[in-house]
Amino acid sequence: MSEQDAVAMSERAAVLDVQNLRVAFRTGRASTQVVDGVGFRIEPGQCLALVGESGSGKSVTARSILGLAGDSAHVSADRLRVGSRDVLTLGNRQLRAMRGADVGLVLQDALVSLDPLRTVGREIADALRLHTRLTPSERSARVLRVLADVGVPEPHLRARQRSGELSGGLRQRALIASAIALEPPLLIADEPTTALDTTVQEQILRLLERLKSEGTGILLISHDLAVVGRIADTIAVMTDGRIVEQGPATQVLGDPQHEYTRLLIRAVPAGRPRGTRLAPTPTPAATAPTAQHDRSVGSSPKGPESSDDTRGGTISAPSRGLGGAGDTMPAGSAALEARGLSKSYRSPDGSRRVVVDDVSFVLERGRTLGLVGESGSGKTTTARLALGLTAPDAGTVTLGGAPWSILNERLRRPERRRIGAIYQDPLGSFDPRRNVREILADALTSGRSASGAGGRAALARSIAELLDSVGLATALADRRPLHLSGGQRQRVAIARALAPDPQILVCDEPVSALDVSVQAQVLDLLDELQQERGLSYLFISHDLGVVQHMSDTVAVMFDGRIVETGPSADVFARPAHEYTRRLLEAAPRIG
Amino acid sequence: MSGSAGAPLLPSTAGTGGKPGPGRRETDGRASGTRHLRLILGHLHGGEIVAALVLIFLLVAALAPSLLTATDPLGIAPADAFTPPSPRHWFGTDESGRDIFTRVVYGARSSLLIGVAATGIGLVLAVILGSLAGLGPRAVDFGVNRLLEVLFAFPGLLLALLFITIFGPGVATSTIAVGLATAPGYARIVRSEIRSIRGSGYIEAATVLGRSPAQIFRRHILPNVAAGLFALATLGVGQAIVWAAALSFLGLGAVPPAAEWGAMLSAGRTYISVAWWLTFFPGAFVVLAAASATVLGRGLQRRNRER
Repeated sequence: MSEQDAVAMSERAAVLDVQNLRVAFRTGRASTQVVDGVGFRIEPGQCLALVGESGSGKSVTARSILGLAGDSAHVSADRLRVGSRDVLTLGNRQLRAMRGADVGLVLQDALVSLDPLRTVGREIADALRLHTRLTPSERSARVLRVLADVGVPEPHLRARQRSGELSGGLRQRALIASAIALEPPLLIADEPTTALDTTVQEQILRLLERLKSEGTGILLISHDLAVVGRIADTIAVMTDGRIVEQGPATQVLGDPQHEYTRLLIRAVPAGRPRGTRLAPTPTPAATAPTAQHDRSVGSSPKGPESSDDTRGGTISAPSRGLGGAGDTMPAGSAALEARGLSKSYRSPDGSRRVVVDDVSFVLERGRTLGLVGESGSGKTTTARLALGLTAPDAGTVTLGGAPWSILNERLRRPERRRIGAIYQDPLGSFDPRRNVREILADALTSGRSASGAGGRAALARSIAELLDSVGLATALADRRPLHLSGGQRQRVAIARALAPDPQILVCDEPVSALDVSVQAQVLDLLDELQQERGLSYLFISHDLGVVQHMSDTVAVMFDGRIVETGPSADVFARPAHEYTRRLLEAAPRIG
Repeated sequence: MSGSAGAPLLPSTAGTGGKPGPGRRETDGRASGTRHLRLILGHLHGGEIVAALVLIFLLVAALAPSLLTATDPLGIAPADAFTPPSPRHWFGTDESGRDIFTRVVYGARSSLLIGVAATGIGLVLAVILGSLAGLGPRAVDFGVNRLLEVLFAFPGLLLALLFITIFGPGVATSTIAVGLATAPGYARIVRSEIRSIRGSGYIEAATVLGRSPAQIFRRHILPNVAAGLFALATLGVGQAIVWAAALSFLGLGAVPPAAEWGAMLSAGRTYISVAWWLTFFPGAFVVLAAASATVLGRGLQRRNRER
């Protein structure tokens, strides 16, 4: 028996064996170490989860295993074996033979990962054609079997459809089907459920669980500890290219040893009562030290134009917050009220599709109303109706008791400063030609330029105060949003929304695009601002944990209707509606 | 690239902004303009430097031709007719003994003027039409689109010829004609740019902040359209120069005794077998000018994309 055979014998059990993997990227003369000494082992029927935030090197690790790290990457390892193959010694042809047959890959976005011009059936059949000697009819039989295996209903019908014609969940299943068509012993899933709704995510996780029980080894890559907790046997926590903690899932989640793991677990909002901080320090390291934070914020920055004018029809009284916002009302009165809102759009085939159907809710002053639901449930349309960007077909929106949705846009425009908005994609909401200072100056001055030295000095002060109130250093003012991190961008977006000193903020999925720890900081910031300024939030999210943590009242949306509404604690503890129960059951959580 | 392109932004902002802060408010348009220019000039390479030098030479020729040559472009010296290129007459002389180098230098003015003015006319028309289509109601969009399609059906030069036939030949009419002919292409681009900008998040954000449509158009839509259009216009100037020369060559633009590249080509055509320099040098300059504008335009376009 040769030495090589002996090694093969002892390692037979592992479908993936990585030791001291190092990946560096070269740009010009500089070289960046992206993966620095990573090692793990996966045996058949085992799932190892690689958990980390964006930039931690987890995706690069996965790519290196497939030999897909790219030309500018320098990959080295003491051992990098997929089954019995040593990946580092393989040529391109052998790597191609390995991919698909020995390793299947499932990526996050099935819409881009599947060719939009080819049918799902052909996509799967391709893998079979390249790697097996099956006849065409055997191939199509196999395609149907695999599709049925991953739980696609009516596989013979679906196989003839293109990826664009399938729903998100079906598409992701089709992608998994193409990855497992050759029954590879190892499946690498890179954020396989990140873009999916809670209930669909649940289905995909169940599918992965089944594959695991059938003996497939799974390398699951995710930023979401809750998802990972569902199916992983082993969890490896990665940050800055290193694995800082690795161990059995229950142990890592239940009794985290490393500081970073604890930070990640603490940042998960699910089950954390309202008002508790998610991020460790009040001022995150990335942002500036803020002087006399509370006072300077409490006096609320104002543009030269904005004054404390009280409008007719509103009652002036101290609010729950410290700051004196323009129009103040006692906590508990309605800041925004929607009554019987309906909106439908014409579909391409001429029929009308009802997107929002008889929706009513009350957003109380100084409180948060959480609007939760899956994609297509009408959340964003409801937000647009509340903001007066779309006119409802029926029903009304009133702002602090005064008419809002029925106003003519010309009359509504001067009132718009009372209600602001922040979005899921802050970068897209900034004019790409402007830097942070210009963005904020524009929001502060109602689009007019400040006049006179006094006006300009006041504007500079207001900008500094705004940046300070969202925990950003004044030095960032000269940057363009493109050169800021995701969390910083969302902070700038919040600062801009605060500039006209609004009473209400509509937050449409404000943290969905952020890493958990950054999400925690932004949620903490929103909480702080609410207490300081007595803001009312209409908080929209698909993430139950986030909504639970942020909301006083929750409204669950399904198919354009609010199916359940009530105090947050009640709805989450004793869901009354069938759909709410289903949502809650599907939501993965730690512990 | 984006990193290195972004880096010089910061010091230059601090430098041009003077005291950072409110002072920038009123001047932000201009300040970002100079920032833009620095960014462009700081990163020229290879062919772009050559192209920039050629254009600078042409610009000097157009603005102050007497700096480059002391001779009169119209001064006749029959005794010197058909002198081949020599140290005394770099580009030789034509049938009347006029110095061709001098005439090429003087010709730069009308060529550049026609090129720039025609492109300007085209852009203004395009922004008007494109904005109408991009922002107006569906019926207006439909109408403008059909109009553009009809204009597209004619080759540009044919459209220019049609215009000249109606309004008579001359430098002014040929400039307008070329401008008209280039407008539909730009208008299409303006329309689609506006469409995509109109649906973008920052327009909605501005609406939520209570901005009027006029403010949004002036402060967000127009500047963002202009950024892309500027690069394209540089490309267009080269094209316009060629078209203007073509019209003069056909005798519909500048008329023969005047020093204009197209007209010189036309006049020299008769002697092409005996005196190649009569046509070669004006022709070479048409090519040089157009190529330089194109090279620079492409460079700008690439940078625009990378940003």
